[in-house]
Amino acid sequence: MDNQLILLFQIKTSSGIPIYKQVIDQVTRLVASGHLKAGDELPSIRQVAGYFEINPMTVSKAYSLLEAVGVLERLRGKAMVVASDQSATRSLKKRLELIEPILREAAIQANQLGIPKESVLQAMAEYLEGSK
Amino acid sequence: MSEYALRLAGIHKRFKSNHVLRGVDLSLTVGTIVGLMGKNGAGKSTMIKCLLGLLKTDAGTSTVFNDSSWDLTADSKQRIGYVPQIMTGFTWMKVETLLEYTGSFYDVWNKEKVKSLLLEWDLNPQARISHLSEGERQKLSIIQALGHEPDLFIFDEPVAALDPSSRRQFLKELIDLNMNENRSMLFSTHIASDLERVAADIAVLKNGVIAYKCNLATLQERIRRLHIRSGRELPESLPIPGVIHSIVNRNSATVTVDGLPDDYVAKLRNDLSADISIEPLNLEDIFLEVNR
Repeated sequence: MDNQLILLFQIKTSSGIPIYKQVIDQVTRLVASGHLKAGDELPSIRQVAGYFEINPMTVSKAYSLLEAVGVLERLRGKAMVVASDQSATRSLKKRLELIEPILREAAIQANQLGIPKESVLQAMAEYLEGSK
Repeated sequence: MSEYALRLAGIHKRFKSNHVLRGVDLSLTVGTIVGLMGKNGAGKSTMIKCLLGLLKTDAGTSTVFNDSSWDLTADSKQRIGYVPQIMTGFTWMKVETLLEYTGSFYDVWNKEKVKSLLLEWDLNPQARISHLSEGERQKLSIIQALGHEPDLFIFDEPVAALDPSSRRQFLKELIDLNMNENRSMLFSTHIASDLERVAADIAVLKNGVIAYKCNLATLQERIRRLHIRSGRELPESLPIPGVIHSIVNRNSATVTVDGLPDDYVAKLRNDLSADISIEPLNLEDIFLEVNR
């Protein structure tokens, strides 16, 4: 039986970002945004490796690290599920952390282009309103 | 306790005045896939031939399943599946005949597997090998090495002539074999994106030695490129440890580093009063950088 959640993953092999990090990042986002809820079962290591044609150890490493930080839990069998307590992953601090790289990049580019801070914040406010 | 599928220690190999291997150390733990990279002429095929006992080494020890490469027992040979770079001989045979002939040498020959791969890879069992394209010969060569269900696969550029969809079918097969039966693999190729998918570890052969051997993700975390832009002129020689390559041009610099910690980057931002962005590198870029 195939787990449809696999379709939520996007693995890019030549992006320079290690694949295990891509898995960690995407699962964390899905949990932080509430797309994945406590108890939801993740696709098995075998399924992810087979579907994306990637090394199973890479998937296993990602799942283990997600377990270590409390995003996932290993059920008594071996299925990985979203951990029951998601307060840490869904906290504002954690969610902010997830957009930190894009904010930093935007800040660098704004500085390089010499755009005043007020204009950047103004533009950001408009995007925030517009995407609601 | 981890067990080794193969182990090379201090391997030297000379061809007359050409000292190709100059102390190669490489080991492969059972159940892992190691990607082998190196420029043309770096000695990848030579290393593989030493490993298989097809070439005699000048110095060092080489073992496959704890069996000396030069005196491999019949039992160890049964456990190895080798796909050479170039398929030679038997071109007068038909595909089917060659596979039957190959199968007759082994105790185990999985006819079902061979049949299903022929079908999946679109190879006509009745075709004469001399009539096959280069890509079709590679497919045949791969099937030939899979039939006896070996525990260790050694691929010497098996996919150079395969089209993208055949290559992906091949990778899928590798992942299945690795996942279901814990098979070990040494996979030499120039197609970095294939290794990014299937390899757990990467080994780079350079100047006759294994210059890098580590987990692929670790390698990607170690080797990165910094883009530095400062308000003032940068010094010719930047105070950065582990520089592999750098270009400094007045206020800006591009520097490839090996293993620079993130807090050092923060310190540099301060010291140089510069904007520094970190570019992650894919395996092809990393290969180019470490082979400069």
